[in-house]
Amino acid sequence: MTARCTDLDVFFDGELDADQAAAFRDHLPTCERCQRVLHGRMQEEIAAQADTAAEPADAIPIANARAARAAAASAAAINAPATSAPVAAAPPAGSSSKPAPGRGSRRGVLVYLAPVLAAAAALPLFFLGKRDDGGPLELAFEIEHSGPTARGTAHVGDILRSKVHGERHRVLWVYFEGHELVAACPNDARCSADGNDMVLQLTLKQRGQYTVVALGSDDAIPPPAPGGTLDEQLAALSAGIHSKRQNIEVD
Amino acid sequence: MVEQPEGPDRSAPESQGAALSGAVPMLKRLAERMCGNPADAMDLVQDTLERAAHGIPPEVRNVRAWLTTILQHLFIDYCRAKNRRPSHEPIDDKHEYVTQLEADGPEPEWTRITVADIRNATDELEPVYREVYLLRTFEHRSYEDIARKLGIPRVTVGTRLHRARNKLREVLVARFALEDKP
Repeated sequence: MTARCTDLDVFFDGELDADQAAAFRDHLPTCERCQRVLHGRMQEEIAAQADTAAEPADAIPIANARAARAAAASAAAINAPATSAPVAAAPPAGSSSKPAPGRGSRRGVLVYLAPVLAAAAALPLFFLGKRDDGGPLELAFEIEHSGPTARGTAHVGDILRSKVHGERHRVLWVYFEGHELVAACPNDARCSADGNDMVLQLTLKQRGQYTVVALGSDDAIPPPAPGGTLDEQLAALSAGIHSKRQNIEVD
Repeated sequence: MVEQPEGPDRSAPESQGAALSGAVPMLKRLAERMCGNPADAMDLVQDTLERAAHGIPPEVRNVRAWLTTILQHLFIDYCRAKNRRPSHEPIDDKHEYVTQLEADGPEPEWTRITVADIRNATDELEPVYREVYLLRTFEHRSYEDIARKLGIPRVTVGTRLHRARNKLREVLVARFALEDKP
């Protein structure tokens, strides 16, 4: 035990000043005892919060870290030239996996989206995906490049922003290589509401093919069952669910 | 006889989604307090959910407890990645909240404990510790707020909370068939 161990409770309560908290975070990986005690404190807290933790989903602040960072980065680059382009509409299901023509680099687009993203940070994280009027299902996406890139390609580290519009209920799933579920909106912290649209912002972390699928229906759509491939999930869907699909190759 | 709290029906995808999304506020609160900034906290919660999205193991009875354990492991990884100091720290750093730490004791089986159990266990605390604990845990009051309300120094709030938690753990250990940990 070191003197730092004695800060555990105050750290856990978020009451240490920034320097002391940083010092405790440095200490924690080196101290198994603190890790055990911290585990107990966390378990005690969730046991004590069991009743109050059942907050309405639409009361959760988004605080989408990646969106906030993108906004911050964009704000810092506010003087950089930007080439704003509309969000590209996804082609119908079964379309080519190649990037759509014209979907070139949009680096800098977020310069103009910074206020929007900052505002989005105050929006509900989870929402029911309901809209009053419905309308046809639409899937759109754009890629924010993290560095220099060839036009029309996506790379590891780039940020995918997908937007789903239309239908009374809608969900958005992202699969990697057709079998690994990467994101499932609305039950995903990277999802947010933008008016009547559902927006997912996702960092592309691996080379390979990502598949974005938007589903819409008048009825509630169940989340994907764990472990299933995308094709299995789609095959299991009931009639009356519409889908849009887009493949993205990441180099 | 202690009743086992019923876990979610994990056979239904809907209940899995509900269990995960219902836990987000709690995870977010924990992460924000420990990370020190909202962006890292939300990344931590997101990474936790990504792990959980691969499926809740069938042996898990308490999804929240399971998620919290994932969060803690990821948080330690996060601390390790951000580590900016050698592990051997000078011991003469300023420590405003020095409290006497007891030796490791057994942990209760947290996944069986409900909020009612916690509240009942607080009856065993001395009043000075109980009131601080209740204000902090159930009313989410800050140390400053509690200190002002009770007319005690802020540092005393931390000391009383520490003692309250340790005593509470002893009570819960005694009430729930608990595994002994060295």
